[in-house]
Order: sequence, then C-alpha cells, then structure tokens
Amino acid sequence: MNDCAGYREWISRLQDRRLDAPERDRLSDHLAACPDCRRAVEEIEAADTLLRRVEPLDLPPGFDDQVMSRLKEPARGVSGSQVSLIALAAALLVAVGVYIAHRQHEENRIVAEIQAQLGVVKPFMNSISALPDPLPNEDLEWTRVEATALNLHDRIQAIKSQPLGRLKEGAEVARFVRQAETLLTTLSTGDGHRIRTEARHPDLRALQFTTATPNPAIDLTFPRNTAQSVRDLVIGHISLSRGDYGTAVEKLTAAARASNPAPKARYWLAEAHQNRGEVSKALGAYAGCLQFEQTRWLALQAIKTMGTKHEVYVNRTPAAKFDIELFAGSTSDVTLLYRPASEATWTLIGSPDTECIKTFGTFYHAETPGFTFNTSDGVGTVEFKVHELKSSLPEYQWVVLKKQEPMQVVLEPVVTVPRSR
Amino acid sequence: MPDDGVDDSLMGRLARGESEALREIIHRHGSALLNFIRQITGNHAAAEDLAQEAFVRVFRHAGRYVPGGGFRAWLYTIGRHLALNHSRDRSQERGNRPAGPSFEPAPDGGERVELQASIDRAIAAVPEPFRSPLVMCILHGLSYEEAALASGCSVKTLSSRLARGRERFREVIAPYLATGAAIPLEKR
Repeated sequence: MNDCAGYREWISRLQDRRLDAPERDRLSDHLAACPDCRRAVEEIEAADTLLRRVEPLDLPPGFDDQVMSRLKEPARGVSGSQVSLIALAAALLVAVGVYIAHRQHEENRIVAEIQAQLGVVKPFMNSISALPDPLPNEDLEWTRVEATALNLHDRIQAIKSQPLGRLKEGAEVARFVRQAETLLTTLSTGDGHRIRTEARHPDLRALQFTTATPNPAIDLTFPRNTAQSVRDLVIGHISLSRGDYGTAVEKLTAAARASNPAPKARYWLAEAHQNRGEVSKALGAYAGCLQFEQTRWLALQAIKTMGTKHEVYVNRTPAAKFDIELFAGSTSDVTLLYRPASEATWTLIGSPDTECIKTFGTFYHAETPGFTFNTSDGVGTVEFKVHELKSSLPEYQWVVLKKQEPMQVVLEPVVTVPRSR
Repeated sequence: MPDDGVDDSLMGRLARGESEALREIIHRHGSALLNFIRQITGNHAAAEDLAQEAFVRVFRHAGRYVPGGGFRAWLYTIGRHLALNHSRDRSQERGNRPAGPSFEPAPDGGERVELQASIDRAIAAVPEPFRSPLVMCILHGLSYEEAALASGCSVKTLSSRLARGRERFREVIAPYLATGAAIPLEKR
C-alpha cells in the first residue's frame, strides 16, 4: 500500500481496535512518515469523541402503551416501495408453487409416504400450494404474503427437526427444504436477481416432461396452436431451472425478440446470462424488464446489484478511460479482471460528487482488489492508466454503462480489443 | 445495553404469546432504537412512529427470531429497513433526489445546545450506505459483526463503509472543530 487513501480504513479500524499486530506496525510506520495521515488520526479521534457526546433522547411518555395498542390493530398497509417487495415476495412464493407443480408426481408419492411418519410434510406442501395464484396485484397486503412466508418457515423448522435422513425420500424433502429456505432468504434480503420467478402462462400448466433421469430430457407437448415465442419461453425457462444455460439463453433470446414478448422472457434471459457469468448481458436484459411495472423494483434491484460489479478489461493501450454512470446515491464496485503485469493507476476525475473509497497504486495478478465508488449525483468518471500489460490478453471489449434516464441502462461497447497472438 | 441472555429470554416469552414481555424489551432498547431511527431519517416525528412499528414487528415476528445473542443486530435490522424505506419514500416524493435526512429539530430543540444540532447536521451530511455504520458503531456501540448483520453486508464491507463514513463526518465537522462555528443545514 503506497498511498494514504489505502490506509484510511486501517485508521478507522485502529479507533475500534480492529487491527492486528502486523497491520498496526505497518500503519505506525506509515504514520511516522506521513503528516497528513497523522492529522487524519487526530481528527478522526476528535470526531469520534464528538459523536459519542451525542445525548440520546428519552422515549416519550406512553411510548410502550402506544406500541401495545398497535398490536391489536391489523397489520399496516404497504407503502409504494413495499408494494414492489410484495410483488417480489409473491413471485418467489409462486415460484415455489410452480416448482412443486412441475414435480407433482414425485411429490405426491413422497408426501404420501412420509406423511404417515412425520405428519408435518403435508401441511408444508399445503402451505406452498396455497400460495397466491395468479400473481397478486399491487394491492395485496403485505401481511398475507408474510404470513405465508412465516408459515413456510415454521414448516421448514418442523421438517428439519425430523429424522428425515433415515427415509429414502429424506434427501428429496431436504432438497425442497433447502430451496424453500433459499427463497425465504431471498424474500428477506430482497435480492431480486436471484428470483427463480414464476411461470404463469397457461400453456406451462399443460406441460408434460420427465424427471426420472439424473439429466432429464425435456419432453414437451404443447397445444397445437401454441406460438413459437411461447414454446421458446417455456423451453428456455425449463432449461434455466435445470442449469442448461446455453439452451436457456438461446430460447429466451428468441422469446424476448418476439413481437409481443412475454413479460418474463427478458427476466429469465437475464438470469441465464447471469448464471453464465455474462454480467454485462445480464444487466442489459434486466434493464429491458423495466417496462413492466410489476418487475420494475425487481429489475432496479438487479441492476443495482449487477451494476455494482463492473467488469473492466485491460486492453493494450497504455492509458484509457472507463466511464461509469451510477444511480444517484448508489455505490459501485469495480473489479479489474485482467490485471497488468506490473502496475496500473486509477485516478478519479470528473464529478466532485463521486468519491473513490480506495485508490490502489499497484495491481498484481494474484489479487482482485476492488474499488468502491459512491456518487450522490449519479455521474463519475474514472481515468484508468495502465503502464505495463500481460503479453497475452484475450479479446475483450470496453463497456460503457450509461444512464439515459432514471432506471434505464444501455450498454455500449466502444472499443474491441484484438486478441493477442 | 449488553445482551446477557435477557433479550433471548424475553423473545422466548414473546414467541409464546406473552405480549407483556414487549414492554420490557421496549424498556431495554426503545430509546436506542428511537434515536437510531431518528439519526438515520433525521425526522423526529417519523422516527417515533417508525420505532413503534419496529416493536410491533418484533412482536409479530418473534417466532422467527433465533436465540443466540444476536437480538440487537436483529432489532437494528428492522429499524434500519424501516428508516431507509421511509427515507426512500420521502426521496421519491421529492422527485428521486438522493435520500438524506432533513433533520427536523427535536421537540425540545430550544434546550439543545448548538453542538448537538451541529453533530446532527454533520451526521445528516454523511450519505448512505455510510451513515448507518457510523451511527450504529460509534453512537450505538454495535460491534462490526452486529452492524454488518444489521446492514446485510460482510464485515469487510462494513469496515470499509464505516471508514468512509468517518472520513465524511470528519470533513464536515472539521470546520466546527477548528473554529467552533455552527454547521449550517445542507443545501438541498
């Protein structure tokens, strides 16, 4: 670490006694030679002292009585921002239902066998089957979704407490439990991009496909007049759920290009790209979801998440700019995927409202240090200088993320780097 | 307030439907949570309402709480979500301007010294996601681990955000430290 900015986190951790001995020694050496950082230590200590002098306000009289009286009220309606979370929650829960429906044959057999011994699986399955369908509209009460989620949680706990391992079907049920837990986690963290999403198209309900083999073939029987885009959509979605992301991308790309694409085509396409590690393509597909009000929040979350992982590829030019526009108030991590052999310097220029948390003086191959940028006005520019490069770099493109208007993102490749020979 | 197992015990009672246990939880954590939400939203009146809602959710979700000494992180998670949702809704009402506390004065503003008001404004000048770690760790004494849990991020990220929050707070408060001048409200 050659620059002061890199030591500022250590100075912060020093205040909280979170540095280990080698770090303390290195920081001490740096402080001995750096008056700016010494002043920073003094000012941060003073600022901390000041902060700790904040006098907390006491609870107003009757606060607890007011809380207790609110316990008797029905749960509150939701705000505009929560409405979208509800849509997410509902979509997640419906996703469980869809998954269950797909495997109905197997589950029925499992449930029948295990129910007699456990007495808890059936209610668990019932709780999933009772999920809202079709996808609830925005006036669905949060409590309804949440109550279902809580019920799911309780059932999971009950199932986990049973000796499922001794049953032949234990692994199968455990897999359901893991999936449900994942969905609950997703529900609680709001990670929209991890949504398995729902399949509501009526044609999907008529599907017949086999799951008997470890690598099941998709055997679909569509109604005769099913549109090609719907066939693509359905096959793409099933491929996605089975981890065949190549087929998923192919089919969902076709579905998304239809004249009247299904709302979820781009969303599933984004997920397929994401699972293939194609972050930029995933981001573009997520951005395309924004025309649908119900997935607006989901897509925004996804873009925020995806957008924080900017892939920056080194080309053979000794200096280049990487332009990045962020959502106002957002934070973005930038990771340099192919680092130069010796040194690369990042310099933040442009908007004064964009701040670079870390500035690294040197990159090496072994590590993947990340930058975090924060912006309050949504614009920032990073100048990227490379002094020396590896001799063999694959072909990559520079990608510029541009925000056209709130919640719309376009990807624009601006430079194609020739493959080294 | 240190978690000496009392919180887990109270939550156990709450999960069994003993709603009166909530009064004890409010007695233990109510002031801290109210202040935390106020410091994140900058709105005293809203903070009181949000803090009440937080405790209602503690009651309703008591069955989800997993004992193990993490009550404070759990409580601050609820409080932080409510506060940030409130700030986000407010910012959307303002036309998607970046969320930030406006810091309406507390009802007892007349008695508060200018130092307190200046600190409030300096905290308000620290943007999210750096403000929450600053408030949780420095003002409320949460550990990095607790604050990371409440923020839904890794300890490493939390540490980085806290450092950035400290830097920003230092920059804003520095003139005050140097001259004793009052910190003006941010232009918005």
